[in-house]
Amino acid sequence: MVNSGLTQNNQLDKEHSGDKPLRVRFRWLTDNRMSFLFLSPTMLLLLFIAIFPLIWSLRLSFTDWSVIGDAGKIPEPVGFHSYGTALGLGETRTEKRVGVEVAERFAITGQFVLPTVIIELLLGFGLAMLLNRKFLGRGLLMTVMLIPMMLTPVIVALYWKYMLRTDIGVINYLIHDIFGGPRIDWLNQIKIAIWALVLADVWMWTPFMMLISLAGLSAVPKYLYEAADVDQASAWFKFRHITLPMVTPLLLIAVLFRTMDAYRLFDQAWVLTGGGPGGSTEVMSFYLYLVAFKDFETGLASAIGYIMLIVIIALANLLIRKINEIADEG
Amino acid sequence: MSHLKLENITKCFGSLVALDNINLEVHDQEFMVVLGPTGAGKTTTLRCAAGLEKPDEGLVHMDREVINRVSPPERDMAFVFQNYALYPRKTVYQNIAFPLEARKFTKAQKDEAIQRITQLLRIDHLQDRLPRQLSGGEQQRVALARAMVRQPRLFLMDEPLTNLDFKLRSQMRGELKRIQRELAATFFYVTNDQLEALSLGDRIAVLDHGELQQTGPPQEVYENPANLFVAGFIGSTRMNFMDCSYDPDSQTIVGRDGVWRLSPKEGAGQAIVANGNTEHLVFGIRPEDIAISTTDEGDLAGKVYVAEPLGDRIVYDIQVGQDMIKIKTSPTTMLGIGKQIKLKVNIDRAHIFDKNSTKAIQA
Repeated sequence: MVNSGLTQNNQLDKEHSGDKPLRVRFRWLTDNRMSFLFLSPTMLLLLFIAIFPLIWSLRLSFTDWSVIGDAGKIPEPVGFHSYGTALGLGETRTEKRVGVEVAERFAITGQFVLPTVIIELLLGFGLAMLLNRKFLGRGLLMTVMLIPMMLTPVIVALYWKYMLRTDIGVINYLIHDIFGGPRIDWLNQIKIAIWALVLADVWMWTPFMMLISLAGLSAVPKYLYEAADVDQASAWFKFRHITLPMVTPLLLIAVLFRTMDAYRLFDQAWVLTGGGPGGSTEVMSFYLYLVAFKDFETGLASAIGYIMLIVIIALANLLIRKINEIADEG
Repeated sequence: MSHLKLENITKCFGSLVALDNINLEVHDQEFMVVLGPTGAGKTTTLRCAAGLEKPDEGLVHMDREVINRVSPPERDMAFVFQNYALYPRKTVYQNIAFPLEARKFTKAQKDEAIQRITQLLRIDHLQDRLPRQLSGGEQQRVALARAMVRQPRLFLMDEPLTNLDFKLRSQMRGELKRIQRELAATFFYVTNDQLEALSLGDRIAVLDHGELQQTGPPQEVYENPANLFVAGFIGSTRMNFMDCSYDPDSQTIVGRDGVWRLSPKEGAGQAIVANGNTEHLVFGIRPEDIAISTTDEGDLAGKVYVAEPLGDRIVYDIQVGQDMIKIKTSPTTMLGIGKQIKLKVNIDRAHIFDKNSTKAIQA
């Protein structure tokens, strides 16, 4: 209807162009249509680069399609087969192996995410407590401390790859030459390599925790501390009953951000350890990459991707619920 | 004993002089009120007493002991903050118990002390609530309870009634006075409300721009303001000020452009001459000390400019020459706008100020 109206108008315009004032000729261009016109390029772009791939990958996750083997073929639907395989319900030997691998990779991811976020939280909050006062050079110190956060993850990983080397690495120089400890082959030993990833990530993202903690600390009203001072409260008492409850919501938000981010770590694992030794640092994103672009099991990779998504959404929701609870109380 | 003495206290924040050589004493069991407009330095005075602010110069004494270097917790004072400073995530009970935690009270002792003070302040039914679940008046009483649950040497109160509505404020005024008497406590209280100061204080100290203007019992400060600022600040309807001069020959005070002439009260003339400035004076008279003349005779002649009916009274603005003055009348006195009237002045209650020094000239 709208279209036919439009063409009619256009024809009218051609016939009587110049006769009618602009006000009449553009009567069809209401505020709503105008805003829609302005928005449409962005919406089209989003549709093609985000929404369509999302829906397409969801469709692929229910097929056994492969991007190289089955190029040009119509994907065959296999129902929840790929999901079953990823969750360890497969029947063939290969399928069973995939199930075991996915479980292992989730465990590895946990072994990375948990210590990383905890150490970053403790270190970042501690640094924020130290920096939450006025002193000479505070601004400069803050800027310097924020530098790691501004670097590209790949570059950070490259730095650490050199620093962790057994022959010329500065870390081993400190451990061995200065403190007389053993040289540690950080990147090639099972059980230790994962800590190399933790180390690099802590170095890079502790400033973020510090920044958020500082924001929280500086938002605690000063008069509460003064009231506590007059009430003869101890330093621990003030920390436990004023500082901590007041900054917890913000800290949890920082934890949420860092958890989601650490969960999808890829660059550092790729550069630092390449997933090794023996797959011991193959975090989920890394494993997903291998399935998708080494084995080219596109259907299975899509399914694993969606499982990852569901897990992180569930985790995030737990945290968000906790944050809301606390926010409601205070 | 609780005797606080501030001696020559000066405090600057950058280039701003917040307190300029303040001398003030709070006697044992006294209700001392510091009164002044916003930015006068009232809160800073209190914070210097509490130790939350260090004076740049001067000494803080407590019972003849200099306590400049004594930290706030060791001063054993209680501070009621203007915004109450209740701990937001603690219940009323926990808030009030907070000062007792540090003193290692047993549970039974705590319960007893809290029970006593919450009953006194009538908040014992609110003990399990969080501060945000309380009204302003209730929060204020919790803040008071937290201060009063122990027996500090001195209570410092920073405008505790400012955030309350008018009705609650007048109710709490009475309660505060009662509690202070009941506990035989020493109060050092800050407010910008002259009514509060007059009704609560055993003595009041008027502060402006970091300088102490006058100290004394409320009635004395009201009756004999030391300068133009105090005269203008205290009183529910501001004192009327009119520029004038003194004519030693006729021994009369002469209004601007000579529109009125009044004989001052006994001794005032000599005092003015002795002060040395007869040209630039200010004549001050409170609205309640001016009456409408019932005859044609009067001290001042003027024209009714505007009427403000206030229920229990009507305040009229009267134009006298170039000056505008306010008078209070009974609610039944009806004067039409523009009406010419004569006024009688109670000259014994009038004040003369030196306009240059702003100081009162005492007869």
